Amino acid sequence: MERNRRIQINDSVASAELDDGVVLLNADTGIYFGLDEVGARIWRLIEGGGTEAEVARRLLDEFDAEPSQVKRDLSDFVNLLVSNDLATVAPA
Amino acid sequence: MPSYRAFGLGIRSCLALPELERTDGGGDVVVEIDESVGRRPAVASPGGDHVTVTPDEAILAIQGVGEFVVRGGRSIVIHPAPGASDDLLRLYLVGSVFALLLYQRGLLVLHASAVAIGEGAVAFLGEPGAGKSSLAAELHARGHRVLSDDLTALDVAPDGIRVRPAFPQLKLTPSSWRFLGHQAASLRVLHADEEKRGLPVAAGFQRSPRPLERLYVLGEGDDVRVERFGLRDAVLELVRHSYPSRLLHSGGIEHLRQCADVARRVPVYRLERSRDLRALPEVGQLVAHHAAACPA
Repeated sequence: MERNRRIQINDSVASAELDDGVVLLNADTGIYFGLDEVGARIWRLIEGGGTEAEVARRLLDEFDAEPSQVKRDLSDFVNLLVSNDLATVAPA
Repeated sequence: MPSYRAFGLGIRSCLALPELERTDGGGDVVVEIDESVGRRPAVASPGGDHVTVTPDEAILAIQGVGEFVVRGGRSIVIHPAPGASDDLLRLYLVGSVFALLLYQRGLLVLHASAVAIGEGAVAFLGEPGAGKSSLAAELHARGHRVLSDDLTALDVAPDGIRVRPAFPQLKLTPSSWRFLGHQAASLRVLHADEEKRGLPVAAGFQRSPRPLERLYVLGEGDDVRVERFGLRDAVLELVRHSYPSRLLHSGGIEHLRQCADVARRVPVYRLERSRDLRALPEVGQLVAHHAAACPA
């Protein structure tokens, strides 16, 4: 069975929603991040709460892409969030 | 204590500030000097300059200059380092220290120079040495009034975003002032070790606030090129070129929201051009035309 992760955005993260993406601030480190439209969509889905599998399902509904590709890209994205202290994950 | 006017504020200052215009009243801000030993703020500075910023207090400590304590957007106390001259203290006071004070008052403080064009204003952002002051000086020579140099304070209000007039001086490098035809004798020496000099622009100074209509981030390129940033990149540019993030201190969610608010309401462009001063007239003319046209 595939592992699933619950994703939680950290309290220290502030975001500004824009037409062409989102800008994030990690207030603890003072580092800013820019996400493009797709990144912003994933960010909003994660903000809505849920597990990685649930977010992947939503993305597959919205984007015409290979499920394995979406899962891989989402996993990379979540790992980047975690490595930049923007989110934490726990086994779902 | 003499009073001055800058950034729409009345400033009473122990330290003489010849680059600022004098005013009668005005007690929005008080600048004091405290030379008593032992009154210096307890800042652990393990050999180096540093800044601490909390919502109500900012301390800027510069080796060989002194410590500047800024509180509540109203008070600046200078603790000079031994031997620091008034000129040296002034360089920092009218720069980063004023920036922190204006930030505390809720203004968006850009590392930028601004000039009036038509009924509005445009501002040039960029790293130190990017050519902000030279371009402002070129536009000044073309008859446009100067609003600010190096520090541009914006009132971000629901009914508009306005540039506050700073003080009537442009800080120019020797190559710039020579290119623009100014004589060393007519320029203000700012500090013995500072090769930049102050060009007084009292006659061409814009003394009332102007609505901000365009922002240009200065970059280098072979040809002159103006390209509008996408919104996300525009926000990141504003964060990068504003206080307190410029001093490597996050302004938190409020500052991020303010930058996003300005980027949504004012177009931000990248202005690429040659750094050769001989290109300056062409760039000045282009900006004047671009700023007067409809946003694209």
